Amino acid sequence: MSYEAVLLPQDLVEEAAFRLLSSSTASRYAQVVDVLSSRAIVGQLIGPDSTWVSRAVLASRTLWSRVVGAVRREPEEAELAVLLGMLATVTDSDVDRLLNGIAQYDQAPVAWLGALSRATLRRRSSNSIVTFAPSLADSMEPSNLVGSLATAGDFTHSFAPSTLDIENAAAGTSELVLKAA
Amino acid sequence: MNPSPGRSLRLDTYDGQAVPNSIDADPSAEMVALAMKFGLKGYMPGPWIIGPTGRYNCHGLTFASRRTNIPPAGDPNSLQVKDLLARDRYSLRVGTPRPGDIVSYTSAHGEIIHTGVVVRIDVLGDSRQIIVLSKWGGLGECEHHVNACPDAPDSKIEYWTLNS
Repeated sequence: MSYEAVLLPQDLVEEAAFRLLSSSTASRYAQVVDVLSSRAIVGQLIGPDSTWVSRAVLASRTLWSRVVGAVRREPEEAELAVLLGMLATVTDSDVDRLLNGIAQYDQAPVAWLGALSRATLRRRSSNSIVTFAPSLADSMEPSNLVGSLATAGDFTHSFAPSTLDIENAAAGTSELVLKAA
Repeated sequence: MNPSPGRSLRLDTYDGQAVPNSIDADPSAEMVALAMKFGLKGYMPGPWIIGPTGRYNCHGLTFASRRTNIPPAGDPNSLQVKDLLARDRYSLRVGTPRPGDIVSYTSAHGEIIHTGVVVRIDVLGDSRQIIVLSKWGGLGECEHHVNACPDAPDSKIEYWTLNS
């Protein structure tokens, strides 16, 4: 039985399946997702709206439920990977939960999606705006911040709250790394 | 089907450094069929020599005799293939490649994203056609022109020869 795309154009999902399945490294896999998800966003002309985000999150959860219990790499992986790439730029707590959930997995056959989600979370944290209370600011210092750090107001983290715990992040990324001063 | 996907093998470079690796899950028939709907639109140079499998990837073919994936599936930064080439005593080929050389494809990000082995040089008139054997990720293994694989566009192609 042939796979029919849930939310994305069928031809895009077919191309994603080919390019993702022929990728040999996680970074190549992520680059393919970047290219295809960017193309998909442009295809919507105005980018993801709130209605689309809700549908995409729901579709992603459905696709994830199909692949997470599988013993082989299933076609749902291709559509889900592109959806995750599209959602990567969206600030939404449901997206955070989705990515954090998938990021917990590093075993076959979902190792690729797990790695993609972890990389996406790292990128989201690197692009987030962090503000925190002066009392907390006194005890923290960014070790790799470019530019000034806002220190007013209550602590907020606009993207993935869990990624605040990123002191152990892999070296060589562009993350904001907070260390106790 | 691969037994126990996710497992790894003991594998060392020529100089004794452990090489991170893993055997990945196979793609399902439906996944392969979906991928090939795109692949058959001019991207396939011919039939697979060995069909789609998660057992090994391109680097696993080049450096590990088809036994495993290098680096482990989904692993973002445990290994640099350039380091692997150096530890296995390969050096850049100067001049025309020869059968047995390794071919590498380096992305704009500076990462070697694909490798294969030069199997022959076909001479057609005044031109030389470099034919490579490579494995396309979790898809199959095939012979193809050096420029006719998914990772060739926008990649820097180099050849490596084993130091004697």
